[in-house]
Amino acid sequence: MGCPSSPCARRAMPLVLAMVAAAATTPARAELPALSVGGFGRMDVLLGDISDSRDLPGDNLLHVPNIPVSGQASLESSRANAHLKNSRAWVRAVAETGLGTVEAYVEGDMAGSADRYERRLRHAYLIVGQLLVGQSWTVFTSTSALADIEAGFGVGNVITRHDQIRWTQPLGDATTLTLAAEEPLNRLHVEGTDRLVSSSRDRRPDMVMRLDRTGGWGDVSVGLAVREIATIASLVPASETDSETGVAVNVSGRLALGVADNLRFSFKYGDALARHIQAGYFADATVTADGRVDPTSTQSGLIAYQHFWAPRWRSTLAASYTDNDANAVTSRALTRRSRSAHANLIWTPTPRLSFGIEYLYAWRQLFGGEQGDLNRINMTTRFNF
Amino acid sequence: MWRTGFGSVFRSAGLRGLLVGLPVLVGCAGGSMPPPLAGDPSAAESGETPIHAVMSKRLLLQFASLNALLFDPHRTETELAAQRRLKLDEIRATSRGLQAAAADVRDMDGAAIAESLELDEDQLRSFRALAARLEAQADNLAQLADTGRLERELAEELFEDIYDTCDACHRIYRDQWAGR
Repeated sequence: MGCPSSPCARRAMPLVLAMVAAAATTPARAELPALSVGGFGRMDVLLGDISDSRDLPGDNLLHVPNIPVSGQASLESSRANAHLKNSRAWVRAVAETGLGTVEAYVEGDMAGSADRYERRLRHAYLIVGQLLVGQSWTVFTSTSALADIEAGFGVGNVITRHDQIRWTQPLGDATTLTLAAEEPLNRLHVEGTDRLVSSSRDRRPDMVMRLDRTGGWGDVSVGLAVREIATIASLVPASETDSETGVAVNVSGRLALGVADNLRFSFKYGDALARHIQAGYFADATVTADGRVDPTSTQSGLIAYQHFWAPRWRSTLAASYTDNDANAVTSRALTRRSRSAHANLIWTPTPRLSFGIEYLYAWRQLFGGEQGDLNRINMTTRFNF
Repeated sequence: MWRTGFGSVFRSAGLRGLLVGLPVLVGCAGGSMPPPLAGDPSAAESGETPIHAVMSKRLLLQFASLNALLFDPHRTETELAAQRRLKLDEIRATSRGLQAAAADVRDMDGAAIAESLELDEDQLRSFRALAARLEAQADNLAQLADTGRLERELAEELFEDIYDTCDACHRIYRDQWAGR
């Protein structure tokens, strides 16, 4: 989902700002950066028909591991929650330097913790021409394809933010190629347990590319991720390692329909895709007792239709799914598949203010067969500044 | 009715004040359009919507799309700024189209207009003047979009001016066609 306490991002912030300031004060181009600030305040009121009684991320947004299932302890019927954690602010500095246009951007919200307000860094990067360095959305995702839903994201959304080095290369007027080396982070299922752990033997960065094509009809993107998944140090001697290469593909986009209506879609398939799906609640691979890595095959998708009833009234109908076909997974407690459906109505009486109401249905099934669902109403108020 | 209802609500907006233009441009592209003039060079075929109305409607749609960016919940300001530039480019191109269409209307043969719409000399003069005014206003809009200086006060003022021009011209049509 993001790196609330990413060491790289924390170190990057002062560096980013210092670089912009230094570039702006070089003798060749002593021009101050253009500084802008913005964001929005947003209040969410969530009314659900069932909830895990602990304070979990699923109380604030759709979080698949927190969809209660049959037989689960500590359930309570109906739950109301209200918070301002999705409020957001950003600072942007743009300067013309001897190297061209340089931009520094920092964005954060207050969603760093499930049970209290905690600052979270969403984006922090420096752009010099076609080069981006810092933390931002994975290149694997076309942000144009993300649905306008109040719950945040459907179960099948690719929504992770990574530390990365990214190069964007235009190929003509309507085509763009983006290449990135992204922070590796693998979530592994340890055979015989219910645990998902992070791999400590990541060596090579994730190599990700995306090809975008745009036009008056909308835009379509094809993303490709190649990742190394290595075993856990505690399972094998340091001199012995096993790793596999996972490959995943993402076809996504936004098609224009009529006046302002649009259809957004995203379909993903591959090994080691779990890292890119909603906070990585699937495993990228299973590690056997002898340290062998068995990658997980996963597919997911989302389709969302946005309709403008009038210039100030819009709705989105969305459906999303994820299936984890992990033959090597032996834990009955991990999620095998999930579904979600969303329907909302949003009113923007002024260009600064919006009110929304959304119905969410979500379902998941474990490898052990247990399943459960939830129904939720999410009401939002947002003020742009 | 459109202008009063929407203008007061959106008066406090920024570039966001472009929303005030939506009902304004509906006035030039709305359902009360009279049929095109006989020999009207701005209409492809008799009965089809005149080009200046097509351009107005297109601007309406483009501004709606531009304003929708204000509520994008996912993209960074970097991405949104790039999208706004693209949409302003579209608006500039459409404004130039509206400017050209208004110029065509202004340059139409006076005798043909007068005969087709049964306008007297004073009305014909008003018709030409309003077409020229719409041309100038579209030119101004294109220039502002080109420089990215579509600020709140300028946007609101410009759209209200365009609305006045459209309404004044259509009032001439409606007066003439209502009598038929």
